[in-house]
Amino acid sequence: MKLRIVIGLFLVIMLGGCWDNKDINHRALPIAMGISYQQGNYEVFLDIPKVTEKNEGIQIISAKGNSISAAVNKISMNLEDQVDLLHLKVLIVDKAFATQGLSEITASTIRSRHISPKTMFVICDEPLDRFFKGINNINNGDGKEIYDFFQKNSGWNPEIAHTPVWKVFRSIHSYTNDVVLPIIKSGESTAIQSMGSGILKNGKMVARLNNEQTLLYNVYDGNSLDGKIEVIGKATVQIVSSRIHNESKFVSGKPVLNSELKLKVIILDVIGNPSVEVIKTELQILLRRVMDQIFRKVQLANADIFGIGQHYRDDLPRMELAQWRTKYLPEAKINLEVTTTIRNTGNLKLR
Amino acid sequence: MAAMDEVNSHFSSYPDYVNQKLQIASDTFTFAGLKSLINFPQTIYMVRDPLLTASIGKLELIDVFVSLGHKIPGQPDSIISQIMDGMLVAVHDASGIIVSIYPVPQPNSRPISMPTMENSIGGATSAFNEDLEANIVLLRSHLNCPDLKIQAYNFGGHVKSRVILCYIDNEIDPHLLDNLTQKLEAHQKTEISNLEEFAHILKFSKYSLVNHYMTYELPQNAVRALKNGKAVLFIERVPFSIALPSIFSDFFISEDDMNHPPIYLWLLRSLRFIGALLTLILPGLYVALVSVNPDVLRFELAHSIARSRLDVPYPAIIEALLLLCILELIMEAIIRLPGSIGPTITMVGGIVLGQAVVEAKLVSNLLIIILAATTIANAVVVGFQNTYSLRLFKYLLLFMSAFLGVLGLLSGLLILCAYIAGIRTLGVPYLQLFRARGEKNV
Amino acid sequence: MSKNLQVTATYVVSHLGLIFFLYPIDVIESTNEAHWMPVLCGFLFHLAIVAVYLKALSYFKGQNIVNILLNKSKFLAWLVLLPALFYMSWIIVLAVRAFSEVLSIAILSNTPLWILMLLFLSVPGFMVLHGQIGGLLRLSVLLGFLFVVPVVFVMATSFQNIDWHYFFPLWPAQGAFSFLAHSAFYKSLFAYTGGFLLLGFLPSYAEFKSRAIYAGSLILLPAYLIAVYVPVLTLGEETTRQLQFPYLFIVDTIEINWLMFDRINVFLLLSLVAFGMFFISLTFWQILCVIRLGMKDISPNYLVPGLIVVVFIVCLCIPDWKTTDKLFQWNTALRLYVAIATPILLLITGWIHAKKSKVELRKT
Repeated sequence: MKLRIVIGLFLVIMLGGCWDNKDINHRALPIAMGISYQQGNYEVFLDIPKVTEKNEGIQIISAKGNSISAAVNKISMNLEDQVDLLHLKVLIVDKAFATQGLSEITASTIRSRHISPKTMFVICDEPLDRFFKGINNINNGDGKEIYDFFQKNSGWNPEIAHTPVWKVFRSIHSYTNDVVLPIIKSGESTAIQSMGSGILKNGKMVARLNNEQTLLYNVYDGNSLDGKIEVIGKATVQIVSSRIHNESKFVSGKPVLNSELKLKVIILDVIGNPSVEVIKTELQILLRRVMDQIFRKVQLANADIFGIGQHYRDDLPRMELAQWRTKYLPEAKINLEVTTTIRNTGNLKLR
Repeated sequence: MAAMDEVNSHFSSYPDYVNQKLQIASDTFTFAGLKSLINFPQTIYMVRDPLLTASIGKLELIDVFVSLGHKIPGQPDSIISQIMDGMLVAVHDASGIIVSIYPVPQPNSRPISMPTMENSIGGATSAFNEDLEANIVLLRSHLNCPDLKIQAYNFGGHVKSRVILCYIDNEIDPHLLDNLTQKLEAHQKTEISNLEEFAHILKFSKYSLVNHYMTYELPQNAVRALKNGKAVLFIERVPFSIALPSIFSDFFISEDDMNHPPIYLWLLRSLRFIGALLTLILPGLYVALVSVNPDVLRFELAHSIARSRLDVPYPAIIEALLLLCILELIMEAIIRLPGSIGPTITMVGGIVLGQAVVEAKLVSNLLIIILAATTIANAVVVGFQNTYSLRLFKYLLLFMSAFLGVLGLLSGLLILCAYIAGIRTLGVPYLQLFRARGEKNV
Repeated sequence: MSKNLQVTATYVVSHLGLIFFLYPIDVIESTNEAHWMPVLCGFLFHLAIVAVYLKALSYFKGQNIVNILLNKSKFLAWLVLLPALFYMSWIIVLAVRAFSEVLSIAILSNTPLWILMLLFLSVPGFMVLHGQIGGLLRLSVLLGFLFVVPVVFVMATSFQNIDWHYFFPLWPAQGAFSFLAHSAFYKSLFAYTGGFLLLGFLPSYAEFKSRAIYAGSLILLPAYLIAVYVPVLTLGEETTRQLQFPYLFIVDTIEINWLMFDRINVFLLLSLVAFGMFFISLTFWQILCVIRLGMKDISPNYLVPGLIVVVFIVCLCIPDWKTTDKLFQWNTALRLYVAIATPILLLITGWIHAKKSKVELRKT
């Protein structure tokens, strides 16, 4: 017994030797990181909410370096606290960097266990220094807007794409899955303004979608919480729930996907006196048109953001599947069938 | 009579010693005893009555006199020991026959009353007290069954005390009974006046951190223990029963639960389990999350904790230790204080001190919340002695978390689990749920 | 008194600690599609050796493997026990080293590795010293009770991002059994063979029915499938191959809005670490058994610290993850020998024993 106590004490004393922990109030917890890339040099912006009594605003710090971690180290060196990227929520890259390719920084983000794979990937439509100056405005609030903007239980809207780093990572290595990244810039009356989204293929931005198209993409992806659709000249409806059913087949060697989208909507606004049937058909026409627009872009860019190839995994052998984007996608066809149920029309009746 | 003279001189300085001559019928008797232990008027009345009846009925007075008690030899030693035991010693002056009579005793114990340490909700409220016989009466009235075995042991050479062992024949684990009786019989010379000495006799480890026995004031708890195959012991002048061995579930299961509907019963028990877990984990978790693994927290929470710790000048472990120390002081102080002042001190200590400490930026206010919750949760477990184990164990987890973060917390918990799983009391493993079952030695 | 619950819990808990770290990536590397085939094959292999082993043990009521073999023949005993001893020491070194590396990657990047390794040796050491086998068996029930809740919770939530399309194709177009030729498959068998030797050591301390073990392996089957399939279904096979610890990564991607914690993989990791430590302590105990019953009866008070020091020094000599992986690969042959030879040799011994005793019965 005494032997055990001695050994236990010895171990505890040994453990005491490794006391190099930093308390939470001595760590700087950046919430967003901006990265721009110019001629082999990375410029890193960190958005650190100030830890003070009154919760006032944010601190924007930037540094340049040969690599991202070098730049972050430089910041950490010059800052009074230790920079801790564990709570990073948003990763912002500028448009030039996005078109050049994000594979490397995605890989390094995944590799380092310091940045969570849940971090949102965002493209910025303006130079990063201007963007960060824009959101560092005290009138805008407590400095966490950029985080709340993408939080599903606070500021997120179905018009905004929602893509964490791990999905980008998946798209880079996958044969059949591409992603869209949200595009934002600093706004005039609000801190952030959504500018649609960018289609990413193998880590490179190849095309853009506007907000309306992003909404349909999200609906198709099953991500349509409370999305509002304006049926031009007739009505505005709000999606309450959506279900999608896909049927994949090959018609004369070309992949054809029959998608049936079942929407449950409620009516918010009505212009004129359209009947329920008119609204339904108009909605179908609208959605089909948007779908066609997106699909044309997708085929042009060879980027399978809908994951259509997923439905052919059973039909195509692996070798063929590897060529899905180049060989099959350009010939693919989506037939979108929209079935709408108007659940209610609000307090007013609709004829 | 020479022997009686010696006895008289032995007791001459005793203020409560009574030596009285009494003429009953034709003979003279001498009565001696301690009036602090014997109710003299009633006892004399009790003795005189049969003798008078005998003399009227023309019976042989000596025979009746001897039948009142038992004859003892005329040595002073044996007379003295009888008197010390609270017996009435009567001498027939003519023949010199000495008889020790069981007298009407002086009441020397409080009546059966409410428990002072245990609370009973919806159960019987009469509790064990200092009187061994009264305790047996209580136990018997709660457990009226022929299988209940009661064995008495006398301990001590110079100072004596009785110990009574109770068990139910078919329920108790035979290994346990063997172990227990062997140990009790082997140490009859040792004195027992407190539980520490008792634990020493049963050879419990001095370094043990959990209770090997439960103490019950309420007879229904003792009866439940008996029915679950445990042994119950009473020590003279110790106002509670000792149930051996204690098992893991004694932390969470109380006999009172049985008075509730089953769903509430299980909810209450799980509540106690959660309480025990919380009191162990919370302080450690705070330290681990604040100083080693803040990444586990949500961002909002991390940010607000960072804000609340803004001007705290030392690491989280010191912060927690400081406040825990004050809390332990309060808990210990309350026991010493009279009941009328206790609440005031709690108020001053808890509320004023807590508020001031936060205002002065010595600790973060989240920690106050956590430690308050810890202390409350600590009191949830059944059995006051058990709270001591929890109070100590949480420091192990606290230190481990300070070194290794959540991993330290886990290792602490593991060490604790392994410790509990490894304990045996008299050959019965500690980690059992309902019945105390023995295990063959490995 | 039978201890079915304790033995089942011990069996499940000690295996759970092994499944979620290296096993998924080994299975995924062994084949491109239809990962259920290597999983099921491994599982059937596991069932087969366990069945043979239990059958062999049933010939000798209440005796453990060391006693059985030493009573029969010294040569045979060391043919089985020496490789087993070597294998178990090797496994402890690998487990300690791998667990501390995983933790270092995942949550404690600042803490020096040797402290983690020491922790992984001293806690199991304490478990063995303090509780011995009775304590360990009871501990398994307590651990199961405490940690199965977070593990099941995390397992359930890890289905959050899956895409069932990745399940297809169910049957590969060609080379369905090509994984049998892949070394990664044999490496993955580690998750099946890690704990089964224990069953042979138990009989002299605890009675159990073989049904308890089969029930335990049925509980384990979903765990094997989840460990492999959740990463594949979430990321796709091509992406999963890039990762070192796929399942842990997937758990890191789960988002739960209502929980006050951000990284719930910490809970999974910690529970698995607890199970891992339990596994190490069981292996310690088996080594103790072999040494004390087979060679020299040394007090565990000296044997356990001695073992810890030796293992610790060996662990310190392993410089990097690559070497660990290589050691793991080299271990495969020994593992297969132990997994196949031990039950079969024991079965033959048992069979002969049963025949002999039958003959003797007839004589008398």
